[in-house]
Amino acid sequence: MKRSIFIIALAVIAALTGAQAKKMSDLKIYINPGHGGYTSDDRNIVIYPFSQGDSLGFWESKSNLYKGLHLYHILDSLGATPMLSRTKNTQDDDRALSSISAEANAFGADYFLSIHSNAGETTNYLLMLYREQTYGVPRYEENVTLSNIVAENLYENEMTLWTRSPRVCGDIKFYQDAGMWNTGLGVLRQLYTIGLLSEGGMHEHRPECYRLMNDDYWWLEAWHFARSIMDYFDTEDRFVTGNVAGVVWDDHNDRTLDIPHVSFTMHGRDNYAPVCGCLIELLDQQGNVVQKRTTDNLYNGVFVFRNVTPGNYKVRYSKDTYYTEEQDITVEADKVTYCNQSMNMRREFPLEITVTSPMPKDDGFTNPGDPITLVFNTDVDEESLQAAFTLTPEINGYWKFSDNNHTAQFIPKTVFDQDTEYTMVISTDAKHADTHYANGHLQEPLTYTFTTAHRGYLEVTDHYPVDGGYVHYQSPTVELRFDNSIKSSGLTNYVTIADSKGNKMNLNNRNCSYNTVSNGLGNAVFAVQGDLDLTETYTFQLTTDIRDTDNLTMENSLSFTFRPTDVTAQAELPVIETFDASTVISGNLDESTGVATKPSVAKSTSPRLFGDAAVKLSYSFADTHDGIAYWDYAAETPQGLEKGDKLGFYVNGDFSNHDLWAGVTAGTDTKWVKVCDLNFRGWEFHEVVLDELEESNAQMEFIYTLDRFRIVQVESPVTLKSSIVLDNIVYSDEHSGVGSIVADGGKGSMKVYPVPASDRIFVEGLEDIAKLELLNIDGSTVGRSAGTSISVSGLSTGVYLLRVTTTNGSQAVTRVLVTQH
Amino acid sequence: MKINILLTTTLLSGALVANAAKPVGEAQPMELGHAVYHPVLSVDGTQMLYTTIDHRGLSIVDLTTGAEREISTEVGAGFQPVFTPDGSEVVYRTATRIDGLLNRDVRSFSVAKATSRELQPYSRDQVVMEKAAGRKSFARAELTRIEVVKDGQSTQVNPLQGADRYQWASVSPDGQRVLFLEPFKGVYVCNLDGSNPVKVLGNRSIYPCWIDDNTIAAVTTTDDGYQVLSSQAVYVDLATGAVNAITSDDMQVSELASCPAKRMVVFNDMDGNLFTLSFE
Repeated sequence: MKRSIFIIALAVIAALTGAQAKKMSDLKIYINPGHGGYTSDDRNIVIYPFSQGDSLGFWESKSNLYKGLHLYHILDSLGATPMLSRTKNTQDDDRALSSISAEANAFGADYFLSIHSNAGETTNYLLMLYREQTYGVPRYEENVTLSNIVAENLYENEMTLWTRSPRVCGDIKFYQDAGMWNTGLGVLRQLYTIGLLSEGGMHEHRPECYRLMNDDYWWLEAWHFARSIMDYFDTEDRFVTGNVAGVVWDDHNDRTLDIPHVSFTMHGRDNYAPVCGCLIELLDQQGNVVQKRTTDNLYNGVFVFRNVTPGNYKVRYSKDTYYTEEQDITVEADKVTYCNQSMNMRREFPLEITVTSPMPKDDGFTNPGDPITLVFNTDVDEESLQAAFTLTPEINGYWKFSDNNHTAQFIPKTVFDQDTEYTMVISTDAKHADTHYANGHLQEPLTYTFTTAHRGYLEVTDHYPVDGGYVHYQSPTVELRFDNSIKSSGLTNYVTIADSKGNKMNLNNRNCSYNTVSNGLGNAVFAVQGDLDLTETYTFQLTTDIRDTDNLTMENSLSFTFRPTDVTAQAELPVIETFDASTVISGNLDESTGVATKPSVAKSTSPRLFGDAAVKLSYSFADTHDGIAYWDYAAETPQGLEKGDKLGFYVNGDFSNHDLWAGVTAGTDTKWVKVCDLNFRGWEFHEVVLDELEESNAQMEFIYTLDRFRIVQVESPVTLKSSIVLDNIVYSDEHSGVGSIVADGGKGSMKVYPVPASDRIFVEGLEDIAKLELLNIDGSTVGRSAGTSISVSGLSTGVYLLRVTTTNGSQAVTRVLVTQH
Repeated sequence: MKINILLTTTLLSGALVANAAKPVGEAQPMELGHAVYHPVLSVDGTQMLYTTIDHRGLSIVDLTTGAEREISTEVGAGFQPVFTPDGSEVVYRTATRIDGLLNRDVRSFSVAKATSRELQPYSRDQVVMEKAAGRKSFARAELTRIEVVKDGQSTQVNPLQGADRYQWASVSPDGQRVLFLEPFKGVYVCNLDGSNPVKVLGNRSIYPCWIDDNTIAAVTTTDDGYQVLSSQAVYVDLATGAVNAITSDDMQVSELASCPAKRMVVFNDMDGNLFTLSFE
């Protein structure tokens, strides 16, 4: 682990290229559109309306070819001597990799470019891979320089949405670090000229995949390739014309406007419907149409005006169902002028409410916890809806709107009163968001009545541990949540916690607590006196005698079992923070949002797990939603964290269900990693893999240090004010994460295979595996299994976390790689 | 450095047999003690050139004594060097960047003197290496044609209608036929004038070369567009079209070369381990 943090910007040194000004006609460029044909290794991505295997749909082999053909013609028109490894896209065009590189060598190419796009469903970024001689050692320094230049050029593309900055990496290092193979890229392996393989975005990321169906989009990537060649060779020739490019989208309708079953990842404006069939005209100063384009019907909204004479222009966007928009632009030589445009659909019809809920249930009652949901025929104007809404009897709540404003929800801050009739009225003041149309109001007021359920008993809404769950064995607590405040007097008389032999555990009455949650709801925390026996199973029982403040009892008694576990199994890892001194951490009110008071810090000697003390982080949210509490953390020494490192946190949870995050920073770049859902009470160990960190490259060095924490409020009326406790933070730089890792307190060594996996992952060497869970990099669970293997056949290519839980509750987490061909 | 070449006693056996050659035993490792790529054999099979994976540098080894000599350490030196017919010299090119552009020279290395001399300074020109090496009969692939030179007389042939390009063209030991790869169609054998092309292997076969007049060898390969998945040395009986494996599935062959005079092939795997196999 490095003990320093710095980011150094290294200038791209022209001398590295050995280049002086020259003409394009001097250059010999070898272009390799990657793959070829329509088979399993040609990367067919199924997008509506195409079915699997349809050659009209997306194939990387086809997209690569058209980019290559465009590049060929651009270079040819500039007088260069290009050569293509293929000009068609049949199976016969899927040449042997050595045949391609041998041809480039024989051609005497000054520059070799292999054109590809990348897998990856949730992200979209550029990856430039240059040939390395050995791991981490570029074959030619020029390869790094030109790869950076290509990355800089392609990254200018504003028609797409990049989810991170470009990555430039050696091919051996890249694939070896990913656990895939050790020999780098076959097509670069035998080259003695300079070159790279460009992964120009993620075709598996569906919005990008739709763009990669567009000929203009291919052309502009090719143009950027050509300009990067000019940049690298510092040619006298530059483009004397410019380009105008953009996408058009409907910022009031999401993609379901055109595409059924949208279930893929989208970011930002990609959530909205691209406007197909939109006429885009480029007009000169005299109003003459210089060029025009009509966006295709493949749901990308892409257009490019190619080779435009520099000057001032107007761009006009029109479609009969939308209001016409215009932009004034200036075109410069050798540049792209981007003019992305949101379109405003004509809604020359009134607002209608198409669905209302809560829907009456069979017994005529609705769940008091349900929000009121309204679905409209188009996007509703938020302000007018809120003003038009009344609810009797009145209740405190807030509004949430879907991204396209087609759905609105009124969410009560607590719950509706039970056994109560409510009447909701939406007056005709509610209107849709088309400000050009005067009659967009609701034509008739909507009056809607619903009745909430009768409450006859006190109900347990949640408890920790769950039935069959685990708690840390030292001084554990059990918490019950109720739907109303409870009477605590004599409560412990109704509770028993006993082992399998019937031996009852004493409760530590001083540490038990009641009704500490918010908004009139109830809870009870029962503290066990002493430690639990790790070999035992315990049963918790609560009789129906408990009463709430309305004097209601429970309808049925409550009983569940749980087992003790020792979460300190990972304590042998290097400790980078003990929190014996609480001064290293402090609340940050300035960055916090939605908090009632400044997040605070206190030394915690009880609970603590290691050493002299732990640290208690306390927060108080002002409302039931949208709060974030921040803390700054100043380590005594920077940790020097790098991509792939692991951090482990011992967390004493508060059963709030909020999310705990840790922030790591390199210079101005901060990355947040989710540590855990705070859906537990007592001590747990949570490990995170720092896979989303930027990698150091020739221009920048990214060495991170842990420097902040935050608790992100999950919408809930239950826990507005609470605290968690952190103890030791541990560190591991076992980057591969695959192979032998120790779990179960060192009792076993676990083997995870195969690497990479495409169908099923197997776990061996660990007894008593209770379950396997696969999580994506965001921490969401994407697969579960109760056995010793888990299917990955339905997962996209990428890195996932495999969490193995043993029957005694110990957990081990390791990275696994899934590849799908 | 000592070379262990096994089975050399059988190298010339069966040289006059008209039937297709068959391997003598299994391929045997040649221990050079370091990685070897892109082997090239002299006409008489007594010398071998080799280089690194990316053709940087060039070395020669005397297969009869095991003596090795470094010819060049420069970029590109190991890309398709050519022996003179008598094996006394090696013609090769090195690459350098002048004003950012790739330039290549032409050099000749005297095996006896162990010195190189410049035949042509660095330029952007294409050079016919076989001519530079003094060969009077050979074939070489150009982009859309094959140049066939016999006794110094050059003709251009285009054996396959609609062929996009050709690679790895060579003339059979008896000087009657031409072997080549059309990378979109496959490996073919045709007459010297380009007539009667017969497909002998698919288009994913590389480094085709003659073992004798009736037998050729090549490397058949598969990949996923990023990495080689399998790569196997094979030989083909031209009379029957039968394709036979030289190597097993668990070896990935990188390059292969042959010496018809000795009916032998040499090949290396991805890690640069060198193997030889004799035919009879």
